[in-house]
Amino acid sequence: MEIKIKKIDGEEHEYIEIGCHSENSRVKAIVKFVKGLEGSVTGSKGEKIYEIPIVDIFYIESVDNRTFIYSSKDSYETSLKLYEFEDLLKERGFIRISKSVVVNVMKVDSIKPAFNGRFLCKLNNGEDVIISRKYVSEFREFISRRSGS
Amino acid sequence: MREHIKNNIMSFFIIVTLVNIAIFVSGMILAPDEKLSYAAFIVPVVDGLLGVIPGLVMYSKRELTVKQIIIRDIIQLISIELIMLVFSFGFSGFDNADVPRLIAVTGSVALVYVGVVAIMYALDFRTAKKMTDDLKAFQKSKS
Repeated sequence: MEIKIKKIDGEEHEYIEIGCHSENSRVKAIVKFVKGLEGSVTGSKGEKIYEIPIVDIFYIESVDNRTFIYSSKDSYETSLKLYEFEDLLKERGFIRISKSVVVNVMKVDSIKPAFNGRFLCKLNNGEDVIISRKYVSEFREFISRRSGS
Repeated sequence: MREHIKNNIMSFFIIVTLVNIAIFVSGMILAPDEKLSYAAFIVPVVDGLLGVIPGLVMYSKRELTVKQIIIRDIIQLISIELIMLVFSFGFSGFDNADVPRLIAVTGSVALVYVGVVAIMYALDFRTAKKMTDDLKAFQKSKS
């Protein structure tokens, strides 16, 4: 496999592109490795333990004292508490949006109004999560401060 | 709690504005030749204060489900109607001659209530749009 490295202008976003005939296990291993460089967390699904790349996490939810990590299609249970994730991932674009949910802002597609001063985050995988009244101003401040508006 | 108080203050000013419009429209239809005193200016303010009382009393720290919110809003509307009827007619009740006024008051209250909900939704819609724009800028800066 030939490896090409192209220098791009400082204004452009950095990216990695793989040219392949099919998305086989080798390609998947490379993608997993690159995502792993961005950090990962451990979660379990059934008997199996998985390393979930942080960039793949959509949101983390606490249900009945158990914590679940949601990716595009899968969910994993984890031993960490929600507040620990909140601390751990606050510099990685994750923010608490309700008593039980921490969302990855990079995975939010749009925001719509919901009942009673709440808002609905439409995620890229089609799921919806609610921003509760208490966390609306914090969420607004988080994205407006970091977007520079 | 702070968000809740802010929302109620906003509701108060929307109610005052809409009650003014309701008085103007119902007055033009029911009693176009009526002359009002300066005291009439205080009516929308009192209506605004009375209108936000049920909302303040029914505050819940819990995150309500959509069903619970709908039930709470219906109870809130009924409470506001009763408060406004007592404010308009007193506790003495009313006779047949009061029926047009009764219909005007209950109808106006319902219209103002729907108006407040619609305006609040429009404001939330604008906020949501601004948040989505900020979100896109945030995502662009991070990617």
